Parts: sequence; C-alpha cells; structure tokens
Amino acid sequence: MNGQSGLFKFFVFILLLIVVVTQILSIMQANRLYERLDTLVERMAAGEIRRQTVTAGKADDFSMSKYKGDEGDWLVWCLGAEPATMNQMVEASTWSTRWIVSGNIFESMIKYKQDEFEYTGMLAEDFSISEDGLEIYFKLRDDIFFSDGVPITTDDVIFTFETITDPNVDAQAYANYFADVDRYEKINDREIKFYMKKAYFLSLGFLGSMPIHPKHIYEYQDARQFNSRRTNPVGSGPYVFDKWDIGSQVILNRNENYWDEKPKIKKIVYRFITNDTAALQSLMSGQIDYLRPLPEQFTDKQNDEQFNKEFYCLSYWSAGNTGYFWIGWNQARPFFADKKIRQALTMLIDRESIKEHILRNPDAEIPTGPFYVYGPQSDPNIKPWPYDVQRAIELLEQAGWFDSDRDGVRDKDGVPFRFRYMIVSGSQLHEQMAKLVKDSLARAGIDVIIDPYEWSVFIQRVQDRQFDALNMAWGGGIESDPYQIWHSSQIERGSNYVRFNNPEADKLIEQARQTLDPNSRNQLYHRFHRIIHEEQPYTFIYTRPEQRFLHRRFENVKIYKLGINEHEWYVPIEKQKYK
Amino acid sequence: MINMTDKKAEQKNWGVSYGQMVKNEFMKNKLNIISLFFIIVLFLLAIFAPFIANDKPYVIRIEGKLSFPLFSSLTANDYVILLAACIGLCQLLLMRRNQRTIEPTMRGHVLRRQLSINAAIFIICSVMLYIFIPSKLDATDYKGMISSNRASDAVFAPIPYGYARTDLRKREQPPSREHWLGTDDVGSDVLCRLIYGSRISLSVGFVAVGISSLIGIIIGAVLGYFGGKVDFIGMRFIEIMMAIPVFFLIITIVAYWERSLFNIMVIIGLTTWTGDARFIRAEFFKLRNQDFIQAAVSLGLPIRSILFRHMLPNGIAPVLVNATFGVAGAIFIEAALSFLGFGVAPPTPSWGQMLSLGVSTTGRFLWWLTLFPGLAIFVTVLAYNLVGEGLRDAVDPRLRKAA
Amino acid sequence: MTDYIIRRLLLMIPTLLGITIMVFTISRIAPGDPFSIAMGPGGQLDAERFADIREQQKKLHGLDKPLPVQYLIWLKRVATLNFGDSIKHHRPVIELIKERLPITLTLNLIAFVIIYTVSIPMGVLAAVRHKKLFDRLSSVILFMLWSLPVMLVGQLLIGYLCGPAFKNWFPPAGLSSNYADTLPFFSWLGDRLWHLVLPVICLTYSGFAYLTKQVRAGMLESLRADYVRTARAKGLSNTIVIFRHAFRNSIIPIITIMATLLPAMLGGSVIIERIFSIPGMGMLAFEAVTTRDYNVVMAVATIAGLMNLIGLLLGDIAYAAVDPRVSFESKV
Repeated sequence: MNGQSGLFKFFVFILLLIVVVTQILSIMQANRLYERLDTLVERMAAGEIRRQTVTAGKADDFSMSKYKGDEGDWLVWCLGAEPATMNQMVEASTWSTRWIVSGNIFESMIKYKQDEFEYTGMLAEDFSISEDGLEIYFKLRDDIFFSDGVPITTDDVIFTFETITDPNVDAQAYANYFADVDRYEKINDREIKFYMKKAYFLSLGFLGSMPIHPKHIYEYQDARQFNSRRTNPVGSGPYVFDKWDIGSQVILNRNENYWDEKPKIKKIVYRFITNDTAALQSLMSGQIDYLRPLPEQFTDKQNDEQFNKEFYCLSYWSAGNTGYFWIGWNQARPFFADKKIRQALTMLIDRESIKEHILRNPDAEIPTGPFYVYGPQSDPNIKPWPYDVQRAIELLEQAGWFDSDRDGVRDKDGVPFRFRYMIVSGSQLHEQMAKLVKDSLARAGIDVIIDPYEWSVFIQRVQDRQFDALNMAWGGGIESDPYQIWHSSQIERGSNYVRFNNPEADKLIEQARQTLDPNSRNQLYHRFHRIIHEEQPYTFIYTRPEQRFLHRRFENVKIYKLGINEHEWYVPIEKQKYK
Repeated sequence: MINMTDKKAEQKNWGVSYGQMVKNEFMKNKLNIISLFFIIVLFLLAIFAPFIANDKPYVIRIEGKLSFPLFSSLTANDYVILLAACIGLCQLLLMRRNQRTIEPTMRGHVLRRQLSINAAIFIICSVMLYIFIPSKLDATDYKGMISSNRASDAVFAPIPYGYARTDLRKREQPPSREHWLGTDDVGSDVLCRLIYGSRISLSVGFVAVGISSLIGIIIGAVLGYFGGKVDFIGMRFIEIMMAIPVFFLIITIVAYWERSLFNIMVIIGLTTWTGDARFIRAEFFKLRNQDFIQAAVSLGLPIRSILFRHMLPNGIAPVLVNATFGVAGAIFIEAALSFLGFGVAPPTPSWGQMLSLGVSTTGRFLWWLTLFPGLAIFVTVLAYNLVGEGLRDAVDPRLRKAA
Repeated sequence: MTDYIIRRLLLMIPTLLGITIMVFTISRIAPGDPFSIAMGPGGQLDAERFADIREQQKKLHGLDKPLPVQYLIWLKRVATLNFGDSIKHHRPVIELIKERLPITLTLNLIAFVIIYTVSIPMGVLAAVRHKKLFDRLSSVILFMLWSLPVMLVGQLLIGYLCGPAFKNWFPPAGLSSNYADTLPFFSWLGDRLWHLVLPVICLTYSGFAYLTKQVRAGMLESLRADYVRTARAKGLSNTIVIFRHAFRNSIIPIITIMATLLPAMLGGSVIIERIFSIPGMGMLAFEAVTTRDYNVVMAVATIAGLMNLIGLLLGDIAYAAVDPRVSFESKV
C-alpha cells in the first residue's frame, strides 16, 4: 500500500467520522429540545388539573332535564380525513377539526335554535344588537366554567377575540370576519360590548359564535406558541379531549365536570377512514356507528330493508352545510357575455336527470339562487329553468349563433362556440358532470373540451380567472352575505370569478348588508334572487341535505328544522355495546 | 439476362439472415404465434375502431337523400392511423420481397432507402391530412331519427354506440343484449369504450417506448463507447434518474403540462429510458473490445458510423426484447395514471379509467367495469410479454444450441 | 475493498445532491402552491384578502425567496437532519416519516420474504425440469400473474372477499380494527396481520414472475457448465450438484435484484395503499405531490434516493463478496 494513499485515506476517514459525530450530536440536541417542550406542555396540563374546583351546576334539576335515557356507551364516528390540528382557529384546521371540537370541546356565546332561524344563548344569557347595528352586547351566564373548573369570564371572551385578531396568529382568514370591529369594552366579568365600524347584519353571528378559549391555558407570549398547539384542546364543552392516535383516531371523554347537563354518551371516538367503500363496510361490520356516506351509498342503502333494520338513514338540512354545486360561465368570453346564452345553456342541461341518476338523491334540490333553498333569504316562488332543448336552441339562434360552416359547431363572426371546461381531476362527480355536459351541449352544436386539473392547480387557475367554464361548489350557512361572490368590486380580487356585473344587484347587496331588520333585509334578498335567476351567471346544479347512517341502538334521534343534536342521543342499557 | 435457375441457385447461397433466423426460431413455438396473433387482432381493432363502434350509421336516407355520416365525421386522427397502417403493411410486404429478390449485402441499403421514402410519405401526408381535414362535431341522434321515421334505410356499425355518448337512464347496467358488456357510470357503452381504449393503450405503449428507447440508445451508446470520464458522469446522471421514484416524477410533471395523450406518452417515455440505457451501455462495453470494432476505429471511420452502423445492429437485440416489455410496462403505467385520475382527459376512453369505476363507492361491485377492462389490460400485457419472452428466447444463441 | 466503499460513499453525496436538485426544480416549476388548497371554496371566504394572506403565508414559510436561495436554505437545514415542517400537516416532516415508513417497510419486507422464499425454489425446480411440464406450466402461470394489473386484483379481492356478503373474511381497509388498542399484544399482532393479508397478496403476486425467471435463467446457465458435468461424472448425487454447485454460482443476479427491489417496492405501493387505505410512504408522497407540500416531497425523494443508492452499494458489495472473480479496481 502506497504511503501517500494511506495518509489520504486516513484524512478522509477522520473527516467522515467528524461529520457523523456532528450529526449524532445535533440529533441529540434536537431530541432534548423536543423533550423539554413536551415536559413543559405536560406540566402545564398537570398544573391546571390540580386547580380543579367543582362548582355544582344546574344538572341536578330534573324538571329542566334536557337529556333523557340511560347513561353509557360510545358513539364511534367515521371521518374521511384526519385533521391536521385540534386548534380550531388556525389556518391548518379543516372541517374535520371542526367536527371534532366545535360544540364538543369548545362552546360559543350564542347558537342557532333548533327549530327557528333565530339565535339563542349558550354561554351567554343575554345578547343584543343596537338599532344602528354599531353596538353588540353580550352578558355571560354566572354558572359556566371550563372543564377544569375555572369559571368563564369576559376575560376569556376578550382573549379569544384578541387571539383571533392577532396578526401573528395563523388565523388571518378567520380574522377577516372581525375586520369591522372597532373596539370592545369590558363592562364587568360577565358583560361586554363590542363597537362596530359599520352595521353589518352578520356581525352578531360572527362575534357570538367565536369558540371561547380559556385564557389561563392558552395565553402565550409568542404567537408561535399558540400556532403550534396542535393537540390537547381544553374548553368548556360537554366533552374533553382524551387522546389522538395519529393516523387512526381521536377520542373524547365526557366532561364529568360539565357546567350544564351532561349528555348520556360517555365517549366519542372519531376514526379516520379515507376509503369510502371501506368506511361503509366498517359501518356494516360494526366497527363504527356513525357515518357520513357518499350520496350514492345513501341512495343505495335507503331502499335496502335489511340495512334499514340495523341503521337509521338520516337526511336533514343542517345549519352548517347548505352549499350548492354549480357550473360557472366566465363572462369575459364572447359566448358567455349574453344572458340569453347562459339561459340556453342552463336549459340544455337536464338537471332533473342529474338529480335522479347521478346523485340518486330524491331529497336533493335544484337551487335557483345562491341562498339556502329553505332559508329566509330565498324566494320560494322562483322555479328553476326547465330542461328544454328546443327553447334553448331558439335562444342560441336569437343570439346569433348558427352553424354557418357546416362543421357541426355553431359560430358567430368567425368565432366557433367551443370552450374549455375545467374540472378537478380524480373527482368522479366532476367527471360525470363533465361528460354529461359535453354530450348535452354537443347535441345543440356546442363543442366542449374537458380540462381536468389537479386540485391545487385548479384553485390557482380559478384565482387567476384562467378558465372558460368550471365546476365548483360553495359551502354555505343558513344566512349568508352575497357580497363576496356577486358584488362587482369582487371581480378582480374577490370571489366573483365569473365577472358578474349588475349595478342593480350591487345596490341591493350593499343595502341589505346594513339592514338589520330581517324582514326588510330578506325582501331585498328576494329581489336579488330574482336578478340572479334571470341572469344565470351560474348554472346551479344541486344542493342537498346532510345524510348520515347511524346504528339503530341510539335512541332519541330527532331531526329538527335546522339539523340534529348528537348530544341528546342515548343507548338503552341492554343494547349498549362499549363499556 | 440472368437465367431463372441461376437466380434460384444464387438465392440458395444467400443463406439465412439474422432477422430470418430470429423469425424462424420465434415461429417454432406455438405460444408465440398465438400471442402475435392477439397483438395483430388488437391492432386491427384499434385501427378500424371508428368503423366497428360508432353511433353514426354508414349510410342513411334522410328525406330521400343518401348521406354517409360515419365517413364524413372521420377525424384527421382516424385517417392518419389508417394511413400509417397502410404504409406499415406496404413496408412489410416490401421487406418480404427484399428477402426474396435482393442479395444480403445490398439488403440493408435498400431497406434504409425504403424506410426513409415511406417515412417521408407518411409525414407529408399526415401533415396534409391534419391541415385539410376539418374537425366535425356530429351529435345528431340517428337512431332517434330512425325510430321516429324521419329517416330510413340506415346501416349501422356492429356496435352502434359512440364512446362519448351518455345516457343517464341506462347507467351502470350489467351486460345485456343491448349493451353487450354493460354500461359505465354515465351510460356509455363499455364495449365501445374498450375498443377505442385500445387506441390509447397501444399508442401510449409504442410512442412511450419509442421515445425511451431512442433516448436510452443514444445515451447508452455514448457512455458505452467512450467510457472513462464521460461514462462516469453519465452513470451518475443515470443513477440520479433511477433513484427518483418514477411515479412521483410522472405525477409532478403531469400536473404541469396539459392533459393530452401526447404529453402523457412523452412523459412516460422521458421517465423510463434508464433501463435501456444501462443495457446498451453494457452491450457496448462488451462490443468495444471486439476485433471488428477495433478494426473500424483503426480505419478511421467517423464515430457516428461506428456507433450506429457497426455496433448498434449487434447490440440491438436486448433493446428490442426490452422494448416489448417496455410496451407492456407503459400500458400498465398509463392504466395506473388513469386509475389515479391523472391520465387522459375525459371523455377519452382509457382502460385504467374504466377500472377505477369498478368498485362503486356504495360497495356495490360493478363486476363488468372491473373485469372487462382488467381483462383487456391483462390480455394485451400478457401478449406483449409472451412475445417479448419468445423474442428473447429466439435471439439467445445459447438456448438455441441447447434444445 | 474499503477503498471502493469509501469512494462509493463519497460519490453518493453528489448523486444525492443531483437528485434533490432535480426534484426541487420539478416540484417548484409545477404550478399551484400549498396555500390555495387551504383556502378552498368550502366557505365564503373574503377573497379580497386572499392574495394578501397568500403572500403572508409564503413569507411565513420562506417561499417568497428566489429559488436557488430556497434550495440552499433547505440544504443547510438538511445537513442537520431537519427536514422542516409539513405545510399541510403542520408537523415536522420527520415525525410523519417516522410514522409511515415502518408501515411501508413492514409491508414490503413481508412481501419480499414471501417472494424470495417462493421464487427461488420455483426457479431452481423449473431449471432442473427444463422444458418439462412443470417448467412450461409455471412459466405460463407466472406470466399471467405478471400481466394482471394490480388495480384489477385489488378491487376483485375487495369486492369478493371483504364485506358482509362474504362473512367479512378480510377487512377492507386500514391497518387495525377499531378496538385494536385494547387487545393484548399477540391478539393485536394477529389483528394487524389479518389486515395485511390482502395488501401483501397484491404486492407479491407480480414479483414472482421476474425473480423466478432470473433464477431459472441463472440456473440453466450454470447447469450447462463444465464443472457441473464433472461433478455429475464424479458421481455426486443430483441434489448436491444442484444446491452446492450450480445454485451457488447463480446467486449473483438474485443479489443484484435484491438490491434494487426494495427501493422499487416503495414507489409501487401508491396504488395498493390507495385501494386499501393504508397510511404508508406511498400515500404520503402522493398526497404531498398533489398538495404541493414541498418539504415532504423533498424529504421523501431524498430518503428514497438514499435508500436506492445504499441498496445499489450493498448489492455491489455482496456481488463482490460472493463472486471472487469480481473486483473493483479502477478501469484500465
């Protein structure tokens, strides 16, 4: 062996050794940091638990007992996607997060009644909004406390509000809803007033539905501490967080210290099953109790006698999910600028057939406007455009589109009626809609090219207004403000993707925002609804109620006008499955 | 004027060329012949798809006048495919004639000339076809016209459905007399989509493998011949390409480009060339030290000539074999992509996409949507694999001696 | 020998760099960004602010800097084995990988073991009974298995073997049942294995063909060699001839395949994991690509690349160890 090469090898060896050792050291260092962080969190949780002082709630008053039935058993849910965090307020939270924590762990000051389009107090015993809409007042109950016994005061309300609006907290989207808040005034430990910059009919709802977080547990020096609190949420609700087995489930235990009457179900388990078929089979084999099925699955099982003997097939309109699916026509394109054409397009698509054969959901509705079909903002007298190919062709020809060059595609001024239809790849519903639309329009001489894009690219193109037509869905609430989607100021940077520009509609929207009296406001919205119906900037395809499968051992399952209340369910002792 | 018997005697002296030897060896095994036959049938289906399955009739009498909807709605694509088939057939016949009438030493030269002439004809004609044949959209309901007596005397194709025609009332139906293989989730006929799907699968297979072989050969040849530093850097590059999970790469690239068939073919080709490159490199390493190559080098022949005229023909055998497996692999990849939702845009029929509809989300097992496309992929891939295996056996001299 | 190993190890570094640069470039060129996804149309978001929010988020995650700078920052972090946080999951990437890698590895290792234990004897047998019924039959069957698309098999298995219609022979998804964490260890293990049966079947059946073919080819070659004839002439029994002489010499291709098979399996499980809802590396990578979770994409690519290279190196070392004719001196 050559001496020189030996020396070289030695150096290389030492170098490698140094690199390896430094790596190991840095890993150990990182580990130690993580450990320290963990013990800190643990100590915090342990410290709070020691401060528990139980004050008796009103639960012993049997005459006011809300919940009846036997105690015990678990309710096992299935969630199609694992949440990224239990922190409801940060960007990372998704609908899965909200299913788990909202209402179970965190409560808000007001909530919707079960049977009427009105708010009622939850943590607040009194609330009001001034005539001019600029002052909003809340008065908290005096018998409410968090799961560790600490009473809830306006300090916690203020803390929650401050956290949401803290620019360093990862909650910018949520904070937007509070942009109109000028300041707040803490009157005492139970009363607080918010002062608004301008009147807005949804402000009471936004402020009142903040999830109240305990200040003594969540307060932070550095906003990043709050952002990184992913688990162990602590609130005032009927359930407390037990554990999160990453990749498989989240478990909530009943809050034995709950300030109000405790629900009968002792434990709620959320299992994550992404595959829809597997989820249904898990339900049928007893591994889960409660499932949000795909529409197909629901329709299929609804008529299955055997299935119905074991499971409820619940179908209800809920306050949380009144969205609709639509096709948008970009009015910057020559063919979509004329409202006659948009009406024609709507009449060329057989929406009843979609409802019957693709959705297979007899409870689905064809919406005529952007509001919840059974809500107060919608004008019930407006009927959807019919499926009428003849009339549609007449309208197309009235607008000047004829097949002058005999190639089967209509044209006008040399522009053929050919456009690209953007859909989300991988979504079976989108694909089916697209194929159907392409075929239906082809029969009227319109050529459609289907453009599937991955979700993230799709969203980007939507934001950049780079599309001719597209499939999309909006979520919704019981009451919504059409400003973001339909006002002309939102064309460039807002959600008015299709460039809908109607001055009369603009005026109605602006006026309604400031009208606090529900009746007059809804009158304005009815007129707005009629304009949308005439103009057809979207072709509304469907909206459908929430559907659930639930194991029949649960009793007291009632469907209200605004949804269902899982907290009032129970399982009779002889049928209880889990201990 | 050469006497005929003299000519025959001369022909006997020609012996058997490499290609003929491989062919004879190949034909000895019945399994190979069956597989080849399958592939030919598949090709025929793909080429004549619009004539076999179409919702427009060949001929129909509307208001007394005859019209030919099927023919007038053929796209430039269809014509180009027919053209390619014709030229391919001519080329094969010419090659057979070559073997009979031209002596071996001239054959290569003649073959090259024929290939280039045919290629030129093909390219010029297809360009003209693309320019001059207009795309026509014809969605008239001819069957409806017949049944409502607005037209008469129609002759329909054997499978009278179009692959993009939807009929929601008939969706997800099992095989019946009307729809021999059932319908899919929007009511399109499965058999029709299966037949058109063969076009996608076959073309993806060929173009992707063509591209990957081309790149692989060039890179492998350069690396194998030059060795040393060039090889060193090149091998690192190949290792890098091999280390990146292929699927990963494909999905990332597909997201960027438009979802057309051509793009997908190119992408699959661009990501699977490493195997061929390594093969050729290994072969060239072996060949480099052989006498006839050393002779060519010392004669001062240009590199291009050495690489492609001397070394390549001798090292091409494993590439051809690999190519058949590559076609099978490309078909799999395309099916997997479509299954995951990253394949061709709807309503273009693709076997993988049909497979993804097989287990409906209700848990209802739509067996005809799983079985038939699955079988189609299975049979095609099997045929290619068997042909590839047969070729490999035919080409391998050791096995020939062994039998 | 150690020369060679050290040289290869050092070489891995530029190769890894090359891999990461390529993956980085491709993933950033692709349109779309990770934040647009969070801001889905699932709520009536004030999109006027969206553009601002997007900018803010980008700054928060360092995505507004020029690309080469971003790459170098990433590189610096990786040198301390900090792969950053996943944008979608808001957790350190290492945690995600620590959760998912064992699952994928288990699945693949089981498949690996099964493939090898079945293929090697089959290949040897096929070579020994060359051209006889067993050889031909197994050849055809193996080809058929190789040609079955995994989507078909997976769905058929789920469709026919899972679900109440077939008395729940196998579970349709996931890794363990609902109540698994309440079970004692062995029952838990059994439950886990029960869930793995179908995915493993899907993973293994196509591997048989390739390996068996290789073993058979290698064995055929050795069986024709002179030394085998000598051994037979010496009067040694057939078994000894096959196993002690011929087989040993045909191990080389098996080993080279082993080195490349494991990393290849990691990529191929995306479809199986999707069909059976298994949270493994395949799904992680797939989701990361589709949601533009750059940190995860880079981490997975690096780790997969590293494993690939190590596998190749181990293969070459084993190659050298097994075959004394092979040496790794530098080229002449």
